[in-house]
Amino acid sequence: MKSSQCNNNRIALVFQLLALFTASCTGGDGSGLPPTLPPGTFGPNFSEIQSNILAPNCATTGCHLGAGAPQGLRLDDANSYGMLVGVASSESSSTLRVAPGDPGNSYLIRKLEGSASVGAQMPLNAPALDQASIDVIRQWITDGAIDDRIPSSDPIKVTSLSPIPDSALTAAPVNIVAMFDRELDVSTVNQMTFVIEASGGDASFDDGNETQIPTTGITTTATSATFDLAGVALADDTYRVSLFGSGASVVMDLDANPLDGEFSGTFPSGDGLAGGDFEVTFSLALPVNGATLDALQASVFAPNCAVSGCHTGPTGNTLPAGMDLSNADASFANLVGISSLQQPARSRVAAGDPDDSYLVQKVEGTAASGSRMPLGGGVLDQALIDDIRDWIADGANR
Amino acid sequence: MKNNKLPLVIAAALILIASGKPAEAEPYLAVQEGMQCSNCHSNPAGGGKRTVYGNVFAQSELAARRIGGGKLWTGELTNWLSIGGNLRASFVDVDTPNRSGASDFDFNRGTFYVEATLVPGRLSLHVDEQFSPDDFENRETYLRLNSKDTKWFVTAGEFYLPYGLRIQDDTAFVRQATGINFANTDRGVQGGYNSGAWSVIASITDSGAGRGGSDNQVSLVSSYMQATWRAGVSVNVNDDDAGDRVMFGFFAGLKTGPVAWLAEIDSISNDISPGVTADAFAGLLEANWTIRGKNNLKFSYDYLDPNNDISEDHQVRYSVVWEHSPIQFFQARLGFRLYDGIPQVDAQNRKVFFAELHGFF
Repeated sequence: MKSSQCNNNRIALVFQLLALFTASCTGGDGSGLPPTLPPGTFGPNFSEIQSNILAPNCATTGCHLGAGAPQGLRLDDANSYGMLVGVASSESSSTLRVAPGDPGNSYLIRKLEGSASVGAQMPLNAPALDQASIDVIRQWITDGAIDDRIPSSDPIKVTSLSPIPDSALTAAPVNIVAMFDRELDVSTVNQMTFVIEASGGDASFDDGNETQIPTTGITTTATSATFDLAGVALADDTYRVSLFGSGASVVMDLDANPLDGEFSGTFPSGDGLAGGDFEVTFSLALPVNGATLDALQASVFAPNCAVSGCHTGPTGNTLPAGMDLSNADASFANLVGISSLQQPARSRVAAGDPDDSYLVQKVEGTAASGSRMPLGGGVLDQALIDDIRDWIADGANR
Repeated sequence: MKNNKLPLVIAAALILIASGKPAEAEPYLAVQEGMQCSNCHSNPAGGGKRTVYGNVFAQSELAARRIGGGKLWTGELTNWLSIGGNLRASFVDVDTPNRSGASDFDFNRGTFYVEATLVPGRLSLHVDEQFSPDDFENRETYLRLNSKDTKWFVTAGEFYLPYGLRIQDDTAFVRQATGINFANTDRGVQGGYNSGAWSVIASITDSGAGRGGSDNQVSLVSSYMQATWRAGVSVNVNDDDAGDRVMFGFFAGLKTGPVAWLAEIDSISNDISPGVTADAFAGLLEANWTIRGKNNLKFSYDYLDPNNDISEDHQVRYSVVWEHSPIQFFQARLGFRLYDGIPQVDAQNRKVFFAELHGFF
């Protein structure tokens, strides 16, 4: 009876203890803390690693926080980066806690994965971090272990351009795309800072005959800028692409560093100092659809026009000799962009516009003045006339 | 037979019906027996190598039965050399929200102790070395000088800091949040007075974090003990270049029949960066119910507010642990811990089941 009474008292005591424990408070609901992102939903940058991994798991009271932090390693927001990156481990002095670019030789990774030769796996006395979180830290280290919280003093640079600088294109590009090594301040990329010019046919950009190419729009991503040329007709010429890093309007990064643009033939651009324009050229020579001038000279002008008593020169203000078609150079000089003596408002050859070219009208017999050419020599074969049309449509190039 | 089964039935029932919590602590034995920690341990603050009395107690009082017969193990190999050791192996199952369960067999910790008596009663060398689970790692190495009456002592070397209740469970919030636990030692000198009801131990060390630096850490623990109760205070001031940490703590023990109670509260003020201070609070309440003399059922409640300035960031933990030493030098543990913390950190809401085998001598 006495033993039974004793057991009953003990059971009562157990339930009294249980009541005491279960009446105690539960854990906090976390409302006073900033929300953290679940693993796999944030990027490999230090600010997010600090707020989502290191602060809640490591920089806790009694651990890597404040005076007495184990191994002197403080992982609070203010000290974490400075005590991790490039700092030798106190447990393994030959190993950096974080070796930029080398996660496999970073002591932090070894401690988190439990492969360190000294000391216990971290977090101490708690479940290991999930692999997704460790992988984010690995990627951050692989990327150079940059502290993205600090404004960079490194100027932004151009890392590539399409079309390739100094390239010779045979098709007009539909856009010009520049890539950068860091995030752009996209508001600084516009028609004042991203410019395409045509040389005016002389491949020179210093003689005042350049023309600025209009764009249907400039679009950007975080690290690229695209100059849209859809619907813009580009003639054969040399073109210059300019991204300005000097002057009143310049391309800048998010930390307000101007573009370091000087280009010496290899990417990335720059001379290490903020500022400097990025300027490169490319040329465009569209393929010819029909005959060349040399071919026309041989098939049309020489046998039919530059015959005795007709367009044999010398060049002058009289017809027919004054319109010298005796060789290809003379034909180009006396035809392309030259006003007709009979119809001064019309060019003998209007580049790109065969219907408005007086030469075509004369050989087709539709000209308002004078006779159909060749005079007295019969009508040109339509195939030859079509060659003349194609040459003019292609730009009447020499 | 019926009475023999009762403790197990109750233990099983508690695990099932309670979100209980365990704590594992040896100081409860001191409370139950009305003795100082130094009665059973060579270290004046407790833990580590056992004294001759500690070894005899473990074999004759703690164990359900003693097998093998023969002389009791005292740890003494010679008049001047004694040894000891611990090995803990466990199976742990952790259930963390949003993760697949993780189970593991592990050697938690293996340690051995050596005490060399250089001058009987006056001067001794103490070594506490961990050999598992990783490489060899020194825990404590110090030289101890006693006064002639052995009431006063001074030690120099590397040792665990005197602060609070030196319970075995480093995951208890009072051990974790103070950072004074079996994972951290410090180097310096320690002195104290240990006699009768009073015990005072103080140390000045090199701040741990800044070994080789000029910073210092001062620690003190003092307690007053009677047969059925004790109370004490703890102080730790860590002067660090990057900011100071100041901790105050109160602890107590009370024996009520078969139950030995332990309690500790700690206030922690941490300068974490210039102008930024985090004040934390940690607490422990533990009940150790001795069943039929050889089984201990331990309930504990842990509380941690890591930053008083932030609302709703506190954590609690409930534990229930059954401990039994069927034979000398051997103890089995079965426990369950329920963590309840902020929802942002899954690990603060885990459940842990463990079974541990503990060999010691």
